[in-house]
Amino acid sequence: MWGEEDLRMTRKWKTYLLGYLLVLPSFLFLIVFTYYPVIRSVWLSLFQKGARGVTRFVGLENYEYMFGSGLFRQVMWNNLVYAIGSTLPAVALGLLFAILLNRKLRLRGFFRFSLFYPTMIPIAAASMVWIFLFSQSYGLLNKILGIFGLPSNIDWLNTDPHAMIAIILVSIWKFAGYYMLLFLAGLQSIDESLYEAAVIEGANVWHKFRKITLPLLSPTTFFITLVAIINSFQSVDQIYVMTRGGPYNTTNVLLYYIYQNGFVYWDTGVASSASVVLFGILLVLTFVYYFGLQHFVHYER
Amino acid sequence: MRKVLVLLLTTFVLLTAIVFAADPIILRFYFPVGVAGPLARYMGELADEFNKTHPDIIVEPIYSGGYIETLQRALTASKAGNPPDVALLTAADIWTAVDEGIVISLEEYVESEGGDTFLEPYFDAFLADCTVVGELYALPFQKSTPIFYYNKDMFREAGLDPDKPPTTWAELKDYANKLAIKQGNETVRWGVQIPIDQWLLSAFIMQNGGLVNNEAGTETYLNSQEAIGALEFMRSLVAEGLMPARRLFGDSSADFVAGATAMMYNSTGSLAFVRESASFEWGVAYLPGNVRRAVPTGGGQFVIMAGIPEARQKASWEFIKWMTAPEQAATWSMKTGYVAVREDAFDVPAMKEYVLGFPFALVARDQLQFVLVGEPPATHGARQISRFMTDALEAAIAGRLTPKNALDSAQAEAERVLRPYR
Repeated sequence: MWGEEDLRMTRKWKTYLLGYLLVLPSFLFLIVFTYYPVIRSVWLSLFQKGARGVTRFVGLENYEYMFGSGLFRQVMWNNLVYAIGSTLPAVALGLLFAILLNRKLRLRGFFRFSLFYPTMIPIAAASMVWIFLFSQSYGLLNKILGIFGLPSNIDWLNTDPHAMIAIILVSIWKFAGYYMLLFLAGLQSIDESLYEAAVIEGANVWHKFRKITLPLLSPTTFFITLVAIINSFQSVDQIYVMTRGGPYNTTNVLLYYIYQNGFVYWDTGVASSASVVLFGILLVLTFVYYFGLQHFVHYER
Repeated sequence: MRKVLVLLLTTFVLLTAIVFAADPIILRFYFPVGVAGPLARYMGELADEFNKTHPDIIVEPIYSGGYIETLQRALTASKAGNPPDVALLTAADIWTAVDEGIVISLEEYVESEGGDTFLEPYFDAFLADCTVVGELYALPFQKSTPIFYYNKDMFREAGLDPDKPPTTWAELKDYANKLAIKQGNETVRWGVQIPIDQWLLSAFIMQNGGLVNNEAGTETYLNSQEAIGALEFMRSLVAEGLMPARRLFGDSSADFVAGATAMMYNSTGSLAFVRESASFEWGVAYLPGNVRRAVPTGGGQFVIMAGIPEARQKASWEFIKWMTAPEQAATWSMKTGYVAVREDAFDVPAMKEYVLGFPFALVARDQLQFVLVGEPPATHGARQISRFMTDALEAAIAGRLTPKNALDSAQAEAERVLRPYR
């Protein structure tokens, strides 16, 4: 005979089982396309290739080489510059656009669409167009600079630091609209009555922004900033199309470095080591995200 | 007994039927297009002609991006157990392909065609790029060299003889000085442009009496006295305001036809572009020498992939043999501007007529006498070595490092790459 206790246990197990069954498909994909490659990369990073397919176990030698190499340090530095340089302005612009376009404006839909539009264009295709905009002799950017009497003979993609600035500009252009959309969603979840109450108390625009919008938007801001930083480690298409890491490796970032070592030089050991480093960085960022969500961010509800 | 006989006979008949009804062999051929233009169309036309004349083989040319992407596709497809049959690879990538074991040696096929007599008409300069440590892995197809371009109108203006291009480094610098136009500290017309690429650094190293690597492809001499001297000379052209710090091949040919530079080093691949675009009288010549004249080769050659059935490898051999035969070598050269890969291609009537109208094609051919070792670096991990060389060139030209320091670090990096192959 089954007692009531047993019945409850069975029901509980059934619920568990259903849960596991439901996540099983995506879990399988995660194993095949995420966990297995990660483990395999760690494994491959311990080997070095020699002539005619011979591989040799070298322990941590690949890492030792990499951390000791000037190029790798430059690549990490570039990535930091790129991450900060593209994240902060893109997030700030996204917020600004969102606040402006959250009001009732004429042509609001048009502006929202125009700002979001870059997100939908494949970055590789857009980069081809940007190459023309950045051209030294007939590029639109230099022409515009010329109109304002600024230096207008800049060889954007071939000189340092202009190449990195160009890459960052494209990245901001690409992502600001997307962040705007996320901010808009965040803004619309803020209760209108809070602003009304604030106005009655005599708050001005700045106060409303500083005391209501910003705190209540903090989960969104936090989320977007993290996404933006992660984006800056993952978006490499415009570098591939526009500069190929040049000039003088000044636009060579971690993911491009991995691509170069892995698929141009076929140096699987170093490429895997660099991948493990990238994986580590992204893992830390993810931890920061979950930890931050619980501790730093202001939740109203 | 009768039953067995009947069975055997039927089997025999069936087998014959199968053999006769067998589909022609379909070959997948990965090819890159190194330069812009209708090259992909010409490749299709050549393949069509082959297919018409070889009813049992159908070649399917598959455009595969640039040279780097072609190796990527061929290598990853091979690793996945689904290799193409033929690919067109650059010399550096053939070393990688051999090290990865994805291409077959062609020695046996050459032997069966008569050995040395078969290879004899091909230019040795180009066969060097098909060879890895003494073994032939490829046949040359779309080949180029750097060549010297100069603006004859500007030569006249500067009081130089337009029929006497510089033959030495000293003359080169002297002419550049006469041809460059400066306003204050700024150069408004460059004397010369040398695109920033290891290909040309290699040329200068060899002209200075040095070599880039050893024959076994396990050692480089990037910080030899000759190499340092070569880079110092290139740097001095920039330091003295005769040459811009950074131009790529495309930038330079654009500058040349726009009259922004009086002389340039560029690929023979730009001959067609300059011919179409230049509105002044221009000429080409051998690269100037220093200790000696020297020129590297470049471009692509055919390989046959490993891991495909022997019948397909044989069919692939038929295809690449046909593609590099005199007629086809001449056709490809005339349509694309690449240097024809064999001596007897220049005896093809159409080609004879073509060079009459475009004698620069002969300058490119005759410069092959100065090819020392094909396209350096010819080593294991050659792509990486050439990147180190380009990095060193860029750093020294931009004045970030002295030529010696830049080359020392390139050599140290190369050491690490090559050590496992020794």
